[in-house]
Amino acid sequence: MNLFLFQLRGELRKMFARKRTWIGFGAFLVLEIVLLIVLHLDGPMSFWKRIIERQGQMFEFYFSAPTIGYIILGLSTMLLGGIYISLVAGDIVAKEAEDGTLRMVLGRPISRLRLLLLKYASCLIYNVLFVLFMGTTCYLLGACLRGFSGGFFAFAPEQGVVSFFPAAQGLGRYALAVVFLSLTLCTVSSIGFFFSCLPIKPAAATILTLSYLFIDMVLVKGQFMEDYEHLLVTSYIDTWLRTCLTPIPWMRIVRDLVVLAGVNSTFFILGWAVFQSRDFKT
Amino acid sequence: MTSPNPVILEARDLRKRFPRAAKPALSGVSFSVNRGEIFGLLGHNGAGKSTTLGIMLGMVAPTGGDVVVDGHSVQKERAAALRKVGAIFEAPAFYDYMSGWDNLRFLTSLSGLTTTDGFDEIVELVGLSERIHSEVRTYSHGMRQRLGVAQALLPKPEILLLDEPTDGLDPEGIREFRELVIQLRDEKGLTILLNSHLLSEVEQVCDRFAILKAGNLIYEGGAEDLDPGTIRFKVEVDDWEKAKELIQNGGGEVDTIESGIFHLPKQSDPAEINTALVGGGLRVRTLAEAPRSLEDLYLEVTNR
Repeated sequence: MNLFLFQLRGELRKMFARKRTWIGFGAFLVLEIVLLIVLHLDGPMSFWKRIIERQGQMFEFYFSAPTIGYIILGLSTMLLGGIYISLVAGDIVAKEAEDGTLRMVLGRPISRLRLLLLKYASCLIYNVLFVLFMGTTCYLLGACLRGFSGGFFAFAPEQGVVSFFPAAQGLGRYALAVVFLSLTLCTVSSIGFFFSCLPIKPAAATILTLSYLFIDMVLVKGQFMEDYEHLLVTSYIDTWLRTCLTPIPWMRIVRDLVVLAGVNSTFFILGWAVFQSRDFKT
Repeated sequence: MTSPNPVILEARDLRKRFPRAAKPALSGVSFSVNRGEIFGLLGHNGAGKSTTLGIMLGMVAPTGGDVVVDGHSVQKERAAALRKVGAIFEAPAFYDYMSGWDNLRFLTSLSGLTTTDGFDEIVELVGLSERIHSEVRTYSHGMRQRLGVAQALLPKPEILLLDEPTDGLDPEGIREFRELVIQLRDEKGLTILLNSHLLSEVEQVCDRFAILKAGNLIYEGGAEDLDPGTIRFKVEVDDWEKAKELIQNGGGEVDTIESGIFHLPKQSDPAEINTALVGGGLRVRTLAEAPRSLEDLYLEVTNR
């Protein structure tokens, strides 16, 4: 186990030494700032004012750092989150195969399964760190605009979420939502990882991942697939939004996470099976 | 106490057919490498050298057969077998955005090394002490190759597999590499398998070699084992066509590959050929023994 952790540290050091890994962090910060500016414009501001006041609540109190963070987080995840997570996951094996570094690794006394476990674990760690970074920066940007005080208004009508929380509880719910978002997005990493194990270019792995997610999301949104929604992964990924319901539907959330864990395991095993059967010439 | 098996690396009936390939890449290749020797693997492009090396490193799954490294099957006990093996590839690829040192740390961690003990010694041996903390993207081809040697040597292997290691190196780099290979065998007692199409290189460093042709092993042994029973001569005359006839009449065999070369049975006297040539009205400028190079042997064997 110690050796595995040592090797994982090396894999992470390698991943974070690449400039490309940091592009996602930088791009997100820029996107968050852009969204913050847009949110500050009269149109969007009056939209949220209307929604909050329609519920009989005070806009000045509830349009706060966690509320703004939550709005920006939802939008930026939808716009760019999947792209950057699948970019890193799609690269994780395919890029090394393309660059030729994989043969330097495969010539060593390490099993392919262990190698993939290291890469998959580093992918998931990147995923979690990335979402925690997003969550934190979204909140801090919100605080720049509205200060650290105020309650938390969570709004996701498709999941039935229209919730108001006092300041302390709101911050806790916001943090919970970010943590669960980081867990559910691991499925994006898993899909990207699977495609990366195929004998294809890294860009193709990323595009296939995004295509899969896009089609899945379109099918979830289309009413005609309502009966088959349980087969579509993005319907489970959205479960992070339910942490803002009162009371928190833990059974539903746990069920969704278990399904996602099963999906993740399946993609990992499929990726491993493909990778194990591949020949890598020197 | 029993003495160790003299054979440290053995290819047993290796067969490989790649999906959608018209012909098999390997058709039952077997050879063995003895402890402490430098063994050359020769063959044209596509002969199956890299596939053989890939199977030895567990990177290519054979359709049949096995590779045994010091008693451990690469197919069944890959980790145990490869613990004794270091590999150097043609144009080794590294993580360019990391330093040479960090590359070594990462790669050796996959071999189970958790410390940097011995790194300085090896880095000095390959002559990279000055630049080891620079990013690999700033390295020349020769420096990358030396880093490749370092990563192969660090887990303290008993066998080194070298795949076209001098490709792309300048003449000085090739000579340095050749000297390093001999030094590693003599001083560290390593067994070395050298996969190369540079016959002069193999000739200068290898004790024995195997020749592959279209996925088949057509020769295994030393250059001295390939004794055709004749002596090779080079002759320079003003009319080679006429000389050929006179040589053949005198019991010589004219080389079919190279002009001006003929072979005589070992007991024959070359002076008789000289007399026949001069008697035939030819001006003989040179008549001298021309020992076979590995290239001659290789061409003879592969053209049979």
